[in-house]
Amino acid sequence: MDEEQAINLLKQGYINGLEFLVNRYYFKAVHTAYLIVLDKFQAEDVVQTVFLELPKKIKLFKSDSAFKPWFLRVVVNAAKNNAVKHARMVSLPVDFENGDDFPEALFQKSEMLPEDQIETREMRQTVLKALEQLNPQQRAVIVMRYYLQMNENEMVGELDRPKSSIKWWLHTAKESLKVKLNELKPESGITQTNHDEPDKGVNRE
Amino acid sequence: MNKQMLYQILDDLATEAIPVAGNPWETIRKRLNTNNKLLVFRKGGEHKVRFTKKPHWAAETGILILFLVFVMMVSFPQGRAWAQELLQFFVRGPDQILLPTPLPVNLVNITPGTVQPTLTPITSQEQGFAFYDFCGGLPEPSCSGEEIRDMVDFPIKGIADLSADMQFIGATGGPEAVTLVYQYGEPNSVTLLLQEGPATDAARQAVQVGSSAVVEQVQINNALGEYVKGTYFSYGGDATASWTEDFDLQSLRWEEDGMLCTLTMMGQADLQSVKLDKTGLIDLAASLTEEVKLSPKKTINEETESVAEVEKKAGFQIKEPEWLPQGLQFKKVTYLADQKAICLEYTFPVDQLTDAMPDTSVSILESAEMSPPDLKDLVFTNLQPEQVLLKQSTLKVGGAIEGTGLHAFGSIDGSRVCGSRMQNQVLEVQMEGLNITILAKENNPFGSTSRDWLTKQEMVRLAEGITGIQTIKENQIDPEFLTSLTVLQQVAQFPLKSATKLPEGMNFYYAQFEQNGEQQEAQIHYNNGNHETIIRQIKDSRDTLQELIRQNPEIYHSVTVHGQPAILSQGYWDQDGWRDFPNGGDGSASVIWFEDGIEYIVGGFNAYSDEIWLEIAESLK
Repeated sequence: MDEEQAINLLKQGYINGLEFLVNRYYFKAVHTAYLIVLDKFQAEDVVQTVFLELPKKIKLFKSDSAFKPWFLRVVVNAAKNNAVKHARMVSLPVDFENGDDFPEALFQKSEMLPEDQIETREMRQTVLKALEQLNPQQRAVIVMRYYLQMNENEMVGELDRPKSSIKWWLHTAKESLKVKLNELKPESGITQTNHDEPDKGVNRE
Repeated sequence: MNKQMLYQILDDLATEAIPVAGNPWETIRKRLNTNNKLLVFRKGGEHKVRFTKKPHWAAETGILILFLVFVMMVSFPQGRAWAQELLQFFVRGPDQILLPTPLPVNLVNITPGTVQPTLTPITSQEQGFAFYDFCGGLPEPSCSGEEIRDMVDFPIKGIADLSADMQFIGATGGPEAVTLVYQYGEPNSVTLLLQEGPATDAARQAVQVGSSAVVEQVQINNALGEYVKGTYFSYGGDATASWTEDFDLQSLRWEEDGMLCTLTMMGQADLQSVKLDKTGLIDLAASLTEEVKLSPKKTINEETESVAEVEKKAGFQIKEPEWLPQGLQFKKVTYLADQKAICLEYTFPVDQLTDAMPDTSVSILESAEMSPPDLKDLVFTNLQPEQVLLKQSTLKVGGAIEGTGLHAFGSIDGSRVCGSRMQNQVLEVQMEGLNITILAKENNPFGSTSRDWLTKQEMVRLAEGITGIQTIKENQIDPEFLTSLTVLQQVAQFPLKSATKLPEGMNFYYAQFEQNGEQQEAQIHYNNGNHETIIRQIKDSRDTLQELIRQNPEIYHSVTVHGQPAILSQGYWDQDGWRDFPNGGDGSASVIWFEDGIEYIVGGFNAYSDEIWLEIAESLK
């Protein structure tokens, strides 16, 4: 079965079509939603609900366009609405807050130097903390621009808003992210070290 | 951090939180099969959706109780008195207040040819609006209601029923409050500002009025508000401002549904279609609604006819200029039935962020039948004949009948033909089968800091772009717009001086050279993004310093520059006579002296103190 067949099946009410699409897009969708709602369980709930409603919504999908961006737009909107609704209830996973159970597998797989690993890990936590401090709308545009890698014109089409609104959202989101990252930088001790270059500040004998 | 790095971090974050593992389909399938599902699946059949509605009785009851408490509070006499105590949107202060001391001006050494950094931010331009970069500022912000609503997280109301002579101009503001601008009647005759934002403690800060101000309590729907007429008024350069009740400025402030609103009206209350006095403003305030689409009058996407469509109506071939000054862009073309003409309008670059449509900079009127308008039909209608200033000349124009065109500048109102009121120069050209009238702003007439005006040479090039016979070479020097001091010195036939000290942020902008008989004048224009400083050097000018002082002792003060006698003035005339502002303020400033047979004039907008102007003058080398 290919994607087109799956969509046609789903349009006709066959559950097999949904199964194909879930297997293909579930994780991309749930990761997208997570970056907006910042809660693992809410992200999964949002995406599962989107999939449950897909048999009804699929009628709105025009077959001559690509399914993935259309579907991820639905996910982004659902996640954004969910985040707005739960704005006061967002809870961070304990492992990220404390850093105790931070997945080590990623670092073990890589060949990074230990100090690079620490730096990358701190950078991720910094970005996560910065994302937390943005509002859901700002997180949504950051995710669309930098995670789903849409350009501004695509975002205009997807969000059905004027380009100036998109530019404004992106601008405020980027500015906020920059400010938050700068605020958080000294605290986490992140530096932009290039390990390929010798330290010019030290005399070598 | 670059885009790829941010993508990687986002991807890692998401993957770490929710690893790609397990069987998501199993989870979905289980949810499909539960009794609690919203969707009932029928293979090959219709999908049925069951909606459930949770009662929000608790929240609704809470709001109702609060509303009843409020109604009781303002209904009973004691409650109303208490409410009156609370609702203080204005606070009385003295009738005369001290104005903030202007920031000191730093003079810095200038090396000709090097650029000093422009000072940022220029707060006077941003007007304190966080959305300035996107929506612009007052008096003509550019965001639509839809756009501004997307930028804030509170509801925005607008005027539902606009009278025929009223229009929504645009909106701007920041996350705390937005300002909608409306205008009535002729441009800028009456301006209405509606500021709305959540009623936070900071926003509730009362606005100060004079001790003699009459503040009246008024009711707007179910809310109590306050109304006052007047403002603190000062002339530029004054150290104090006085409360003036006679000033045509009315303010209405009230709080409704958690929103603090301020309606400010500037201008005459009696308009053609509506009377906007106290009662009129209250009615307007009470009628505000969220259910209104706020579309600005100017949008880049306004539907315009194509040249071909207009050409069909006009019945003659429209000739668009083959050459345009750098940056000038086509705006629209219209058919003017009463003049049997068409009007091509052009503008300097639009703001790509806000899509704002600036005023028309250049207009071209073309007609196959009608002669170019008589100059007297182009001057401002409200001027007496003796007030009309028109300087006419004949310019060579390639391809024109007799090879010339009539040029004039002065009291011209471009809007009388097809342009804007700011267009004050015209070039009229007749060619075979077509009469052409070009209108544009002349020679930076208002000390503008942006290049939206045309030189005479550019006017001629535009005309020749239509006739098709170019007589001006591509890189020909334009004496009205010289781009370096070196070129200016090459053109001028006498040694020139330039400033070696200027206020911080002030840079060379352009230079001009003009010759009238034996007399030569070189002008150097410096600019800091806010205003200009100009140095004029005139050869063969008559020394009239003593004459000027004798005739206008209240305006000119005796000083010295480079050891030479000089005169200095700062201020302007108003109905009460000359207003002198030695510390800077409104009006203009000039320092004049003679040296080696050359007259030097240093001046510009009156932004600096006498001492600063003298120091700039002394620095000329």
